[in-house]
Amino acid sequence: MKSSISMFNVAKDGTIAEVSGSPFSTGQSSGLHSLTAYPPKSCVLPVGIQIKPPASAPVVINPQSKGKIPVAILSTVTFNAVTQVSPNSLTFGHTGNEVSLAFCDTRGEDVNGDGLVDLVCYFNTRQTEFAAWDTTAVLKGQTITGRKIRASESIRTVPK
Amino acid sequence: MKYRATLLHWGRSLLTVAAVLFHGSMWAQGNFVYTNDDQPSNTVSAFSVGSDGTLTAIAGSPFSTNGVGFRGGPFATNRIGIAVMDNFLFVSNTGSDNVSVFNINPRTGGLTPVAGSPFATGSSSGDLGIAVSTTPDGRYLVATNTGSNNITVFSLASNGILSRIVGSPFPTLKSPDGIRISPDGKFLAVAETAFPPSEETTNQVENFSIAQNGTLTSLGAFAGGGTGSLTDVDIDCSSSFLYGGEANDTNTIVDAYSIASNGSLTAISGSPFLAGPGDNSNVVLLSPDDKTLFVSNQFSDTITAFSVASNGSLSQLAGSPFPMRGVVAFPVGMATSGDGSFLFVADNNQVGT
Repeated sequence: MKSSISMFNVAKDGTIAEVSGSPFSTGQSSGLHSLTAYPPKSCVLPVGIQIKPPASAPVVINPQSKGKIPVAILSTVTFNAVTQVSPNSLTFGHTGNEVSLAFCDTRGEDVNGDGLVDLVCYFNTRQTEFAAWDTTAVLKGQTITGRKIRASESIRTVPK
Repeated sequence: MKYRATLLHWGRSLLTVAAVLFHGSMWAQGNFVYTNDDQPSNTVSAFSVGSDGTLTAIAGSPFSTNGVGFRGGPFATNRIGIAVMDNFLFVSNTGSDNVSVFNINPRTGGLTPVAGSPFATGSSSGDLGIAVSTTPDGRYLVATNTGSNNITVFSLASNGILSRIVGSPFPTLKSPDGIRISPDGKFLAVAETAFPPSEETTNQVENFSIAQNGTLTSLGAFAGGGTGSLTDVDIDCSSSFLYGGEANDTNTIVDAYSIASNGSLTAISGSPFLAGPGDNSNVVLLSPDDKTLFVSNQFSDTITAFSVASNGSLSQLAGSPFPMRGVVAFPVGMATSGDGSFLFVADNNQVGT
């Protein structure tokens, strides 16, 4: 007897219905107890960002700059960044915990031409605590309903 | 002017369609499911998930863990897990007392073992099981040792290498089975049972606080309210409510607790919640939106589904319990897709074990 995976569609009310073709054999002998899915269930909502739009990653950042870094939180068909993100919750930088927010343009702007309005926020470069060897920038925050959000993007730092 | 505006409109629409198409296929990460096959020469089977729920084995599957499985032990011991932030897959090897770590290719689903994998727990699973779970910040991996009644805590490096932390392993009061780390990262809940089976009846969840350096401190055991044995636990995203499945041979029994800021558990009004019939309701799983709780019933070949109210109480959904298809169904571990649209159920096709 082979182990298998049973697949169910989950309706909005939580009821389940086994999909056509289920169960699917793993091809392995019986003994299967555990499985996991990717991307996994998470209490943190992953969101997309674009640093210094319309630049492509990895964008260049000078950690010593006295200026501000624009970061667009990208909307999708199921996620409206302008109306769902709590701007004051946003932190951005080396670890994502840096309190570096200057302000957000809450009118929004479609930075990637997908027809959806994105939320563009500005962060004080010196408060992001980027270091010379950093290759990733991290943004953290919350939605207005309190769900955590997280995003990361490749960067390249240059000395002053 | 109107003609130009129409052209612009069409051009923009085409861009939008292209963006949506690319977002949904070429550029997007894939959806995959991975199993710990628990075989003597242990492997991970890997499948891509089609939009209709069809599973297709991905290239290279099954992937060797370079460890030893045992094909047995408690049903709720979750032997496979993913670090949300870093695309690492963790697979325990019950027969060799170690944990394998893979990098997941987010586009293809392919697995690459990290250097040094597998990593020894330094304790004994007793051929029963090693449950694995990572802290939400991805800094630590917890691995339970059912045979030696303790928990190994590893620090997780950015390259996936595991190192046991100072003070590890940490003792448990009874044999650990299903575990869950609270989404706020403060607590580790451990369903505890008695292994090997004896006349002793154990029905409790032990809660631990997790320090910044990964060390665990027991906050004591909290009794289940039913007549079964607590085997698995899950915690909602607000880290406010904990649910535990009680294995027994009559009804599905679920304990529901509120979690205090100090980690103590208090049964909520109406707990335990019963739904029948449900033989051996070992494994519990909340949907990503915390609105539904699924319970797998090994010996009645069914999945029970509860609606979760804002106060944490449970109501069985219409149509529940839902039967499994197949000649010999035996539902064990469960997972949902990230968006909650699919429920995956491990079916080990064993009879009477």
